[in-house]
Amino acid sequence: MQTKELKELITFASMAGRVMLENGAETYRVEGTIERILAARGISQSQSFVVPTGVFVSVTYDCQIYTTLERVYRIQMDLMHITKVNDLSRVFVETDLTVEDAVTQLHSIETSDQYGLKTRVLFAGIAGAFMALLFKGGALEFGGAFITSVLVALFMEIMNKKELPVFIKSVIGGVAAATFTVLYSWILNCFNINLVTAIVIIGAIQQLVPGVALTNAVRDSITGDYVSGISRATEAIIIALGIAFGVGIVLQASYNLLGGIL
Amino acid sequence: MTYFWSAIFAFFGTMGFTILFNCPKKSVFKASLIGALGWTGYMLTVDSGQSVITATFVGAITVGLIGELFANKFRSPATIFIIPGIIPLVPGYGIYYTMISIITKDYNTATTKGFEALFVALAIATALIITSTVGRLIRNNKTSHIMYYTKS
Repeated sequence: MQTKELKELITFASMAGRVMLENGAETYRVEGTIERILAARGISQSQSFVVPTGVFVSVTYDCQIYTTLERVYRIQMDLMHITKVNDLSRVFVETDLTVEDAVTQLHSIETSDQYGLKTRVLFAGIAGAFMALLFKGGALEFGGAFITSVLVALFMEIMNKKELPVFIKSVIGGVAAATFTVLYSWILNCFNINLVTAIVIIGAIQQLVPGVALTNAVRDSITGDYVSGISRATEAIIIALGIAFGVGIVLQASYNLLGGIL
Repeated sequence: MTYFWSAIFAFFGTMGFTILFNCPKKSVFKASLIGALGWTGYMLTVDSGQSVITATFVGAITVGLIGELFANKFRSPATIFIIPGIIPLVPGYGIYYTMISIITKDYNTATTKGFEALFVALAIATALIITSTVGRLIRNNKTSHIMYYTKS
């Protein structure tokens, strides 16, 4: 294999790994995909080291050592992309797909989007509303959670376009969720209808809370990827702290401004 | 009847999250079904007098097993069924509640809720590792080609 081809192959492998990692794949799956891609083209001596903030690949070939690093800045859950990269790597392993074509396909996967804004926002509302029901809410809380979740989802879509630290984003999300809930219950209060504010807030923040992140952190730690485990757990704690901070500020302020009616 | 309704709620709650997680369209219904079944497993165990952590473990085992089964049958990675499926079980609210207790200086609640959230996450993680091992064993018997990576 020529040096140029080899370098392209390593770049492709680490890129595939990065796309998987960015879309929420587990550490072992990312490392496995990289090593499988390299092994399929005859590179048996490869090492990959994946942490949530970067992908490192090192290959020993013909007495030379090649190393690449792909930096990862944000991780979000995207099952479609995981599936597609998984399929692509399988096709790459089983057929003679050229590296160039594979890179082109990878780029098209990265930019593909399945659901439109309206669908995403609507289903964020459905998710929040039914989670409020699971927390033993009634019809009022159901409606409230639906409206607030939709509003929070819309708000977060706008916020996601701006490059903000995850903690700030969570604080903003928490503030939005609590503000919309307080407004909703304040409007209902004008008609002498009382509702359980806490359950509406639960519904509204469901799309923000890091439950899956914490579970994945523990999963990584159990399988021996301690650096990833600690890193993901820290992220989960920071997100939860941010949301609690945002919600706390708004609830305290509304208590001081509107009195104990809520 | 209570179980029926809570299963319905869990089904739609999970369905909402499948879209948020950009789940492939053909897997949305299956993943939501798994979420509902996992939640039913959880509810049945809680009502038989077990702790929340045991019940979560049972729920997650249900999610994991059916997820592996579907992955095998429909030839997709098990993650796309399991990640939405565990949504009703994950301690998202628990970890939030812990933080808000810390902010309001209610350290007793924070400790209780925090450890509960951690152990719930641990229960789910353990259950998923067990089921993925089982799933791998099934697959290795059936298909020997390198479809799924096995970590040494």
